[in-house]
Amino acid sequence: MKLGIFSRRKPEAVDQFGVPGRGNSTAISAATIVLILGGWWVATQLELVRPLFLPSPEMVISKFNKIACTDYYFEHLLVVLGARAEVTAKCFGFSEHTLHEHILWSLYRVFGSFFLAVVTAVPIGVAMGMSRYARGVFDPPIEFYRPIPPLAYLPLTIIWFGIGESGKFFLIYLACFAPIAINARAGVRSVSVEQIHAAYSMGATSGQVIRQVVIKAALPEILTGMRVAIAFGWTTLVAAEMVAAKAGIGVMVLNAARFLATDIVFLGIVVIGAVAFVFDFIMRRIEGTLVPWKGKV
Amino acid sequence: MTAVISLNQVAMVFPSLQGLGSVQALEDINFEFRDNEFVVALGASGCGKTTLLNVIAGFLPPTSGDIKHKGEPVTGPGRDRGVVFQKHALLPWLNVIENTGFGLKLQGVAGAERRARAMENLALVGLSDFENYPIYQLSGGMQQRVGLARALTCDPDMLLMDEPLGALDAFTRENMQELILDVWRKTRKVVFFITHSVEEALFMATRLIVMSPRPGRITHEYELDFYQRYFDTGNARQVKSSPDFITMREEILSIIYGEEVQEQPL
Repeated sequence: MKLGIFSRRKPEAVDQFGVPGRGNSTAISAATIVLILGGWWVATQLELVRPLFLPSPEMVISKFNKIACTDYYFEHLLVVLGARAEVTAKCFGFSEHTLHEHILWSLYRVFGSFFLAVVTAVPIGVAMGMSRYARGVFDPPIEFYRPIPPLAYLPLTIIWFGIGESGKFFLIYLACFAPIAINARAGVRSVSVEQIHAAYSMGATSGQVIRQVVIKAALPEILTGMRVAIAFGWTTLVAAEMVAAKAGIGVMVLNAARFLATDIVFLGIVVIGAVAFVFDFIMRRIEGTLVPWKGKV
Repeated sequence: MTAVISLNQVAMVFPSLQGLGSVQALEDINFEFRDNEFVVALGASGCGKTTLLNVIAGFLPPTSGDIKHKGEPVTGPGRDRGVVFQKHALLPWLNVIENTGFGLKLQGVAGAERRARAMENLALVGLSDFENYPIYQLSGGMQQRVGLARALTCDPDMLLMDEPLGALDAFTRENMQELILDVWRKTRKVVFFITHSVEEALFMATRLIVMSPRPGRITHEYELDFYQRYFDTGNARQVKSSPDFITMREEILSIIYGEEVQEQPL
């Protein structure tokens, strides 16, 4: 950058007196994580809690290796590379599927439903923000079903859709739909009437105003809605997979609980947390590139 | 001289908000904007200046009366009347040059020509070196200059400016007054400019209208030539400190304050 005042970001503010929450918290977060993991390890090592209630980290890791068939795939890789003659390790998985199959099934359900929710909820939310007719039509049903827990209408989806994939998709779709639509609608309000007036006085048609001004201005809120929605999607996943699913992280956890395989329950929880975290991280990166003006105007 | 915009018996009544009776924002406005004019509207808050601008821009339909642009009735906003807002109203997802060329993009003008015409107008407001900056990294004065360049790029007959300098600091404001006059001299658009500042109004106007509230109406009208003295001498401070400028300023101030004194409920 040529001039100091136009440099991309202001230098990190000095530790100014009285700024709420001042200072960097990364080191403290790292310490917290270490403390939790360490406490877990120590508690199991000293056998303070029975493994049925709290499996040790080693047990969870070895279960991970077993269900993910780490040895099997590693030997496979060696065979392909010619470093080994044949694969001797067996692949068991859990509930007749390996870990990555469970993960892929769950990702398919969550992201499939999420995608359907995005392509329908964004136009509907924007329409609700732009037109009193759309708002009048969609506001009552959305506000009615939104606070109902998915478990409450799970039986209904079984009656309507049976036990196949469509019912699971519908359940997760509903969970994702409301936050995206509501945020898109709120996003429309972040466009200023001056911006719309400016566009019209440059000869814009109403379609151009919606596409080139309103939706762009609503984008930060729409992305926020998507982040909220995917979190709801993961929350609803386990409920959706309670019904006759063969594979999926939710199924894995539920079946493991039935056999009191606490280590697998732990593994499932960690996997869901990790996938959700990675997605949220990616979404924040996308936000940074797509809406760099967020919070600056 | 031909009228670019003519207003005939324009009135605007806003319905009451809290049962206090309706508000007569504009009453019986008859006015013609002629070629090459720089018309400045001055008045206390609530005198209907902004309402008048919104009516001319087509953002508000008047309750009665009619507005004609070169003989054709005005029914809504259009490309022939460019608007510069008090808050810049630029689009933060576009950079400086994309904002400047936005009007041409809406009209489907091809990229290269759009760019060339946008660059021309950026040069006019002195922002040639900032074409690729995001607008949120510009200062308030620069953002207003982009707003002006954007309005000019659509090549309107008339520029409507709603207190464009109201949010700027005093130094930037004086520089911007000179810049806008210089741009006006080069482009000779008809300008309708709203301000709260008496000095700004006197300095820039070819014709000054003083408005008065309740009901909003034009009470005084002056033909001025202080802008011409600035063009002749290039010295704004000298114009603004000349005795006749100060006399004029006090006269206008006494009109505005006089009204306020009369309106006191005591």
